[in-house]
Amino acid sequence: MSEVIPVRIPQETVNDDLVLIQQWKVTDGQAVQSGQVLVEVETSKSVFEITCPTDGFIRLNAASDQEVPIGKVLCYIGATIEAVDASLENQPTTSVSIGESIHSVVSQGMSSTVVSGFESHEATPADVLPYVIQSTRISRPALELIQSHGLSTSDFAGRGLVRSQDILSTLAPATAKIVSPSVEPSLPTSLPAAKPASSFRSAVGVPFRKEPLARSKRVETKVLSWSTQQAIRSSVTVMVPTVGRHRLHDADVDAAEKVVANLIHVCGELLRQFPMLNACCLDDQVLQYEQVHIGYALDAGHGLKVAVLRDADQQSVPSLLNERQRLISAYLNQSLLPADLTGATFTITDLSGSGVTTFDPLISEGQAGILGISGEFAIGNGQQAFHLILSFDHRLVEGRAAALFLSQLKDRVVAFEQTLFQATASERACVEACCARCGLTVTQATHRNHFLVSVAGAENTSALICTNCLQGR
Amino acid sequence: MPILHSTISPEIANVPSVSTRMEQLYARAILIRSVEERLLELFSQGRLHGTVHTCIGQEWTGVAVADFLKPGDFVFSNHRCHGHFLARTDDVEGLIAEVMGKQTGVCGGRGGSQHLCRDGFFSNGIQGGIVPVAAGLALSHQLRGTDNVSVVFIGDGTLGEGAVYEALNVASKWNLPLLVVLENNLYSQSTRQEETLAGDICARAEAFGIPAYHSETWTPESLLSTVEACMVRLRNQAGPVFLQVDTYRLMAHSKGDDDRDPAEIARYRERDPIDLFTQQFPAAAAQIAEQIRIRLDAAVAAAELSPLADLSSESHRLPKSETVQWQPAPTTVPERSVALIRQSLERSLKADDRVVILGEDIESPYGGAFKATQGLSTQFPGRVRNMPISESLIVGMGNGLALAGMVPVCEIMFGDFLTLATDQLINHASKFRFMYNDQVRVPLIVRTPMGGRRGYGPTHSQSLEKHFLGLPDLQVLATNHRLDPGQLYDRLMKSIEGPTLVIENKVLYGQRVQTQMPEGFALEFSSECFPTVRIRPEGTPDVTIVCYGEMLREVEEAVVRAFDEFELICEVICPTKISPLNLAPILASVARSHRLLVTEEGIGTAGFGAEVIAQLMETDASVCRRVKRLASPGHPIPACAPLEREMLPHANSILAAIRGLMCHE
Repeated sequence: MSEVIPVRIPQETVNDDLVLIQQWKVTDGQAVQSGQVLVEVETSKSVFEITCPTDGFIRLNAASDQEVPIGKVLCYIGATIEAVDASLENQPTTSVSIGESIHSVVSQGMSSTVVSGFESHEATPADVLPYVIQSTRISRPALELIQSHGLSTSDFAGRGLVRSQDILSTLAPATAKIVSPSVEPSLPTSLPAAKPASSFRSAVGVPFRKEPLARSKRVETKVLSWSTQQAIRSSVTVMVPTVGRHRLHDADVDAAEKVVANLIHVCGELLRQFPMLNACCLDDQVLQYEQVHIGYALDAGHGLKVAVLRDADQQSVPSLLNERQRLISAYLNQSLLPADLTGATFTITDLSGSGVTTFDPLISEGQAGILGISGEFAIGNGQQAFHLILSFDHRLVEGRAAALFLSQLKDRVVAFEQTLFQATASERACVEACCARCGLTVTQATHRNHFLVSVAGAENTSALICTNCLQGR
Repeated sequence: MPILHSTISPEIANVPSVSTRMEQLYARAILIRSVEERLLELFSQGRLHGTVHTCIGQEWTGVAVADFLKPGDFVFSNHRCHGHFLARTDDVEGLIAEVMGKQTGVCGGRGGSQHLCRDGFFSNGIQGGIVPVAAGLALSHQLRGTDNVSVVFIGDGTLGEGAVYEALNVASKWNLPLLVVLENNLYSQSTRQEETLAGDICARAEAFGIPAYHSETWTPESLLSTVEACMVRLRNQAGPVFLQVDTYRLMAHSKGDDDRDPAEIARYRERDPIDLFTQQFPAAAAQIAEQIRIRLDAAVAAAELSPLADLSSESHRLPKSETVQWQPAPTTVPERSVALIRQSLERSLKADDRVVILGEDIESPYGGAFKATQGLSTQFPGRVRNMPISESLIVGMGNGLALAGMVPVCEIMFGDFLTLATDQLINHASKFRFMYNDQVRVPLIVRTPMGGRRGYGPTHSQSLEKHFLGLPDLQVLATNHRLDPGQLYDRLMKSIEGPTLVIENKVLYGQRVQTQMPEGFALEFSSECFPTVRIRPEGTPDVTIVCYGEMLREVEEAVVRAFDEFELICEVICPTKISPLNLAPILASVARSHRLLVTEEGIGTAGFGAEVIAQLMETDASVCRRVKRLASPGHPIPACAPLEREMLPHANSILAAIRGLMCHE
């Protein structure tokens, strides 16, 4: 027996997503026999035994009293324990749990010795509300403000829910200053040397002209050939329904841009949940990046450039929107700086404007995945959709995790777009600015050759007044 | 009870001779007929309410059966119950006042002609459903180890109801001391038996292995000996007995609705045993009649003086809004919900002999479809029982056990099947206490899993609880992932007074109670017996979200995202007792947020959300600027899991609804 067999937790009941490892019947590293009971596993309905599928030696991959998801690898069995370990070292994905939540019962913050249900709970005077909530939660926009103004989150500890307005009211305008976020991510220290270029040979035997490859293409080749030569590439695709660029644009001129900015933001958040996609596999080692910097591939006549959106998981949608627009302008002006182009830990390549419905993105050197966005296509009934394609390095990520990543991304993208679409549609339906004095709306004012102007009122308020009223008529 | 025997003078009773016992029984039959004739007279005079279904011509059935009953026996009768009631209780005064709607009536004037209750005698105007209830009463005798019996009176028309056969099946299988007396008067209201009844009546009982006896009211002596034979069998605990008594109703079904052939009625009238007795013993009969007349005059006069029924004693039990205190949620045991429920049931079975669990597939080794009763049947033999697939019977027997003072816990395997037990909940459980004028309690617990998100499809995923909201006396509880369900059941067992439906969302079973909160929010329980859960943010909320059950988990996710992504602050109010609803916690929150979103997993029309919003608007419409409901669309749940996920309210759609509420201003 040369192969190493992973033993997974089977789906025993339709009602459980997690099971509890009760008691291992074998010890790590021991010899096991086919049919031998390895472990008892508890579902909400029953306790069942998992038996050994083959003879060999066992390496455990879960502890007693751990709660683990269905489908997780419980242990590996191989001809010798060395063979098992060697095999696991060659396949880092199998020895590292990716995007799977594993909680031990006690680590959920519930002590098994504390038993005081609501039956026995007596309200003491100290319990009677109102009491102050100790913990703090800072909204994404507020966090952005804190960072850009050089404040610390600890300044807001114990304040419960902190919104942008709380930050702004704390800030004295004079002391506010913009601080650049830190730029350099922790990159792999040694990259594998590029293979020597193979000697050129014409394959078709027709006359040709010989020119050196452009420098940018040579760099590109180096970066991308890494993925074809080193990584074990695989990919998954989902179809994402959308109301369509045109309808979005009709609702809100920035809507399509906001959708992309949100996609980058959500992608950043999900990379935190799936850290093996924000990583690199190097010489049998996994380097997990501590920051999420998303490269955004740009190609509009000035060569393929990958501009980097730093700390994409931390930035709000509006801030990503601005940053992306700045990078696009810089690309078009050919004023991108080296700092704008280095340090990506993951890449998004957006061909949505090109009309292609699917393509095969190549993973960049030092990364574990790349997300492709296809163009829109009709799916009947006037509905539109586009594809999200995730190429990933199978040494780090399994198909299931990649699929989970992509389906969560899709759900969040669809939800955002729907919320945005409904919200803008209703805002447009409900709100038309009007004169605070005579009630003339913008449309009505225009018909009478007047317009609305903003005037300052008492206590820093402002109001809209039509020019007719402003002239005292 | 016998009022007449000593008053019959010997010279009248001498020729031709009749036994003292038969004299007494005839006197009782004549009393029944006289009371009903007086009721008809009062009706035509406009002195009593509604209608009366008389048993004139059928009196001997009740007289014969009652003669063999003893204290502690239960009797359950139907809409035509006066004869059975008087034969068993002799309470002429209570019956007349009851039918006249007076406070001195046996049920305070609330029940009226068809809904009587006294000393173990019950009646209800619903066909069929009373047989499972009577089977439950019989089970209580068996569990207590007495030689008492339970009698149920049905008619030949009742054979059209399926509940009868569900009960016959289990009564036979479990050897219950149940006597089913079928009065065969050949008509279902106006429909002749040959139009609607197939096969043979007794054969139906015999098909279940129940011995069937056959007699008639025209030969009272023979009827008495047949009943005696039935009773001997029952008292010897030889299992249930079926007794068919052929008889004939000489008057209309109710009033003025008789289309039968007058010649047919006349033929039966000629055979009427009471008329024959009167002809045979005119002097004795006259004396009996005179005694009865005096008694009836007095009874009517007393009833006339009594005030009409009133509901003042009921008003304190109507739902009302109660201000609550809040306290931080306590820590809980890190066990799966289903284990906590099982442990609580075990505690109750151990602490209280009256607790009995009935359900499908609940005995060991299977231990219930979701394993809430695992191991209990071996631990408590005879008190945790597998039932056939007969939901109406499960809840019906629960009703009977509850009336007998037991504490039944009925498990309905999937909430979707609750529709099959609807009659027992609506027409029996929720009415007994009121219509029997507080003489009884119905400490019945019905547990059932509701809810989707498991891909079980259109008939195993629904949330049907809205159909059971607002029923009198029935409280509906719903568990959620913040509340220890074991503690909930402990409290319920201690406090139970009336029927209680507990909705256990099936997704919760395998999960542990969660007390960890996202940063920035507090988890609080109200001071109510079944606590309302509040997810409280610091500061003034923008939106109040009301939900219950497993919906809470989706709502919490949406609330966190609403803050993180859109800086919207939401407060969540999640009641555990969803009917009757305490509006106070909701009102207090909406008074601060001015916006309300109610979300539920079932179809929204006329649902929980509609009720919350209606109550809120009635109480104080000024507090709320905007309201919104988020529920399932009005089509069945598809089996395809992704499609199901899409249709049930989830964090994304809740978030969109929160945003929608904010955008419309």
